[in-house]
Amino acid sequence: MTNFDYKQMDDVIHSRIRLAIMAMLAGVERAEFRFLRDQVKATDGNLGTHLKKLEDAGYVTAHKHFVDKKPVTHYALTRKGRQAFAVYLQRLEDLLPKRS
Amino acid sequence: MTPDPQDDLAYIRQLMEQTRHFTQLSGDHLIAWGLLIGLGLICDGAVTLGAHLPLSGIWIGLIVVGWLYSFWQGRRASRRQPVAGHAARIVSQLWIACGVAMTTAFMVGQWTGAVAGDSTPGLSALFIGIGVFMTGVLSGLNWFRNLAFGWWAGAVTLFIWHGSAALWILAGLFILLLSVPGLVLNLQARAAR
Repeated sequence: MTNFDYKQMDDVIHSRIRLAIMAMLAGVERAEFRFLRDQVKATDGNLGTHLKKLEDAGYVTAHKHFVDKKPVTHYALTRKGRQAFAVYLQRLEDLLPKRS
Repeated sequence: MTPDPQDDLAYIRQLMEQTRHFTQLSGDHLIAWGLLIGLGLICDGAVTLGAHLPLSGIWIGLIVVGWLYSFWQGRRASRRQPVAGHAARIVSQLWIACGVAMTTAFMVGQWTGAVAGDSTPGLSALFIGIGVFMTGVLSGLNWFRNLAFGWWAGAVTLFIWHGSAALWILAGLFILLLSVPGLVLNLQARAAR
């Protein structure tokens, strides 16, 4: 049995969709909104809300531009976001029973 | 979210892996280079049949057009790619490495006499085979990776079969094993949209 302290978990990341977004962005330089939406299987509005929370926390940045006159938004993890994600993973790993 | 660290970590790893390996291989570069080099080789072959063509000028023109197109298309594609990841970066760097290696081997090798003119077509096919093989592996496209065996079989043929026939064979390889697969990739990408 490990001593789990929920206060140590980052609330911003500790949601299934936001965790998925952080995990996907951690493996790449940047990803487009539609790609994230298709992978997470969320609606545009739902994903947008979660991305806004991550942006407000300073964990992701958005870059908007036009491709063939259509607006496209790419998201990337910030340095702060990568650090927060690494800390979150460490906390999760600490919850696992130690191997002898 | 209920903390189940084992499940969460497995979920995170799975997402990171599938995103990290995501590459959407564009066929545009392959179509362009296959046609440009194929055209240059056809001109070479035509000269061996007696045609009077300014080969140096044609080759310089084709190579310059190819690099300008690659530069323009590369900038355009990076804005269109849904994911900018490490696999896509490695694929583009791999082809630059193949291009530089081929140019060095042929320009410097032939200028110094270290590379015999007869071995140039076979060496080209070997280098392109490496590029095709690694691109297929990094993109997770087995059918594309297997095209490399066609290039390497072509290389063996070209090392055995010298002369003007080698130019026609290499032109065929560039068009059939580079431009046509590029077209297939673009059609597949269009169908997936």
